[in-house]
Amino acid sequence: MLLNLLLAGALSFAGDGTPTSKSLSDTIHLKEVVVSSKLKRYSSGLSLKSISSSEIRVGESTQLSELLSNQSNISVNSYGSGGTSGVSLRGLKASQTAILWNGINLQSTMNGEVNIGSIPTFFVDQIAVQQGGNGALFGSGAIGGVIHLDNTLAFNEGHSGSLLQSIGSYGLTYTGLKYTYSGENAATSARVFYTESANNYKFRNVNSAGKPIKRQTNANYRKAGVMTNSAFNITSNDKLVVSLWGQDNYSRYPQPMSGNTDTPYDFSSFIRGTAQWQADREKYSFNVKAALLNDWEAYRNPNPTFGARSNHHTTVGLLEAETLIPLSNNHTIEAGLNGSCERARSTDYEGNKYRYKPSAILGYRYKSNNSKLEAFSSLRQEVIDTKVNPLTWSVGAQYLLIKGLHLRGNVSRNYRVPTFNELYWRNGWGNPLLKPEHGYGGELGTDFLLSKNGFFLTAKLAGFFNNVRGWIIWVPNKDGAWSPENVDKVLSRGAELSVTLKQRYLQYIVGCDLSGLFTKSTNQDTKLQLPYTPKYRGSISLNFQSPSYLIRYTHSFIGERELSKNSGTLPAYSLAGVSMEKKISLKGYQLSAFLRIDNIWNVDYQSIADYGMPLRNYQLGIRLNIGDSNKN
Amino acid sequence: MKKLLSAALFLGAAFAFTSCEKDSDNGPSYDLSKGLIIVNEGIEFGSISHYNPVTDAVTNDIFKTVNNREVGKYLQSVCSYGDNIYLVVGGSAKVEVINRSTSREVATISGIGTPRYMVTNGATGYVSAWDNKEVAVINLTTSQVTGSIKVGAGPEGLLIHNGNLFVANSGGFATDNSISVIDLKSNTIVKTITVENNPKTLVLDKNNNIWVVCAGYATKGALCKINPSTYEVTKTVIEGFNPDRLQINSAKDKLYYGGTFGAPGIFQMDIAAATAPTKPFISGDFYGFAINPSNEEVMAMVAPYDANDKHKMVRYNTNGEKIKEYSTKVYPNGGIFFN
Repeated sequence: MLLNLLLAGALSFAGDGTPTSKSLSDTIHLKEVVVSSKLKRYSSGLSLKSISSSEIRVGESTQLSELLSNQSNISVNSYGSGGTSGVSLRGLKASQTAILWNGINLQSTMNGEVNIGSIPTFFVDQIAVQQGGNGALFGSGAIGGVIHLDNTLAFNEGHSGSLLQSIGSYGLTYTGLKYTYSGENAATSARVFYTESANNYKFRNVNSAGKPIKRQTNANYRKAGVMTNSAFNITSNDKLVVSLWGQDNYSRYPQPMSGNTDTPYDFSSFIRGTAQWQADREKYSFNVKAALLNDWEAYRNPNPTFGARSNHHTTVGLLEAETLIPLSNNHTIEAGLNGSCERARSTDYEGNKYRYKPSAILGYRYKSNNSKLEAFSSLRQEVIDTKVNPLTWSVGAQYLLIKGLHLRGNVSRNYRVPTFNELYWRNGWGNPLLKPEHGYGGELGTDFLLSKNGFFLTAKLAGFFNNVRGWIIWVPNKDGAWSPENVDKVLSRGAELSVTLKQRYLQYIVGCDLSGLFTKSTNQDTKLQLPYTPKYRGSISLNFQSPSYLIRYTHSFIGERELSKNSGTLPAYSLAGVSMEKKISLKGYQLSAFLRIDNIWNVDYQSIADYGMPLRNYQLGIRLNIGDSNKN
Repeated sequence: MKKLLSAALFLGAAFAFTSCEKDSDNGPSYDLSKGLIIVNEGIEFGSISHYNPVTDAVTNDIFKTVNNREVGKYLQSVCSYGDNIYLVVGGSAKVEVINRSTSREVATISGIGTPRYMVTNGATGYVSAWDNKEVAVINLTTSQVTGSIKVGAGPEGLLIHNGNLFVANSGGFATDNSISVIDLKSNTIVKTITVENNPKTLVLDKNNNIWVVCAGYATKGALCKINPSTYEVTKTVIEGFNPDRLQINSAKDKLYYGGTFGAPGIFQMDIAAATAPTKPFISGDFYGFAINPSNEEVMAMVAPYDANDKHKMVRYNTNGEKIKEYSTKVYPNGGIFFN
């Protein structure tokens, strides 16, 4: 319930051009996501923030890394624009943040991360960021939090299509095409994207004498992909949902500012498919989900000394069955079995490597008669190959204190299995005896919502902690060779605040989003802040909407970040951007033109030490929507 | 606010420098003419520190404080010539040139792939570079690379003696066991000497013999003595670990080696000794060391991988007893003394 209210962070851009026909607090129900959503069922007590559809729309012509960089509660580290990017939550590392696509975890078997630089925003309809661990619900790797990327598909909306075409600085072009047919019992949508960029962006080389402005060489890329989502009502109580996503990328890695003669690049491609059968019966419902993910990568570094030529292929197969049994109006129990099999072949491993992870899940949900109190608890027991993992669990609850004010909290025990790189790297460097990282997380917060007479306000305030034991780091042994060990103890704690305000006046809407995050994430032995985790982050966004215009200005502040082993710091910086859209009315079509300016104040900054980021850059494009329904 | 704070800290740090010069162009400066320049390899960025024997203290982050930027990734070694100090930045394919009296940047010599060590012969510099298995030749007046000489795999230590450049080919990520001898008049190899596997560092003793320490990764470590006229090699086997540091005292009659990851300590051996010592002169886990030419004190570099322990320099007297500890930056591997 709360989830739906929280998602009302922004208005949908009404297709018919008259926002007055929709109310301000238009609760955008989590549209029937393609795959049955555990998140939707188990959200009580969790810290959940949805990225509004208008923000997603504004970022549609970019990669997911650019969109998420503007969120203050998400840490994105990128090697340059459009380059390899990792994301982390709650001051922990990228391999401890799960990213789910329609409920399937995309974290790599090899390094536990997801390159969000290759996920096109155009392929994502809904983004929910859940801070704090949830290993019991979402399995290994969800210690810092989970980012849910979902596709939506509705029935009975007829035909529709959209075209997105933009060009931008440094030879960037972006093309997206989408077509949806939505009938009474069957719906399917297909989309395609293509982007390429010479990416020879200007940046200030702060690590070179005189700090000159240089152009990036060796950062060009080309990415293309296809995605289809289909849903069929086989009977009135059975639904089949099938999704396919394929992508092919070529990207070159930018060089460090201090100087280098390397020109590395990589080819990567993947095919991901999921199928789910959702069945509703009189006394219970169940769903069965299968997924197959295949990833290929070829990395090349022509440097004669440190040169590398490596090829990787990972395959993950997943099968899950869950049943939901409502015991009464108040109590629901859920039980599930989940099995995954991972296989990796890599020039960096000796022989094929496999891992099997069967697990059993139990869940319980409670809702009081007046809906004031909602709570859930879940348990997961996972077996990794033949070793039994410690039991993981999570408990959450939220309570409606007075109208519009919720109090919520959750506690969980989470874990992360070691990645294949940590276990098997290069015949002897990896450590097959590694144990999973594990720890506890907890959070207490309040959410407030007020909506009346054209005014809308939400505010969220929460304090959190996460601890991780047996944190895996690579350490040198006495022979000078490096090997990963379960070494560190990390404690992350802090507070986050976010406020959204909207005011409507006649046909105009003015809004403001404010958020701030304070994170103290320290190694418990050295008491030093972890590298790349800023203590302070914040952002403010102002938006204005009229029947034909949409303007958004976002300003982010990222505080100073420590480098490894107390070797220095990366300076704090502010980054701002503007995006504008104008709708042009045409008979039967909706055409809009958009412009975005990123790094509008021309700031030099580093996301990863020694890699320059682009100075001011632009993107200009058009969006054409045809069809029967309100397409975002 | 942040900028004001940084400016205040900057100014404060500048005043903390012991030999501050008020130049016509204001700005911080630091005099490196006397004392020990400590090379910190770094993790993200390398740096230099300086030990002042008069004040008996170490100052860190000199390049960054004076020049307001990072020197680069993995500082491997330093070299001096004339008014300049040359910082060999192994991870950034360049050599940074700074002024010895002010530490201010003078020039950047780029385009040397994975540079390791540097020596000079008059106004010409030679830098061993792993990427193309070569020694880069630099005109030190113009700070430009003028050419290169192909040698063996993983060229490391360099030594110039009697118009010849001796290059230790350590193998890099493969293996090698040779020393290339280059005639500096023609820049061509006149002899390739076979020693033990993975030769690393070269020193010259008082009898004009050249010593090279060989790590012997797949075989056994050794100290090889080379007669530069006959190219005859005498090998002294080192048991128990793979040595890769080698220094000699100012009297040029005592060798110091070991003092690296895997070695039980820093060893001392007389050049006339028949066999290598079994026990270290100073026991401990070190990453490098430097010998003070004026009093033969050993400045040992300690760089534990335990996250708790700070990296530091420890000063030992001529009896191998600890005198004092000084805080350095990350992975100090040695340095050069000026007296």
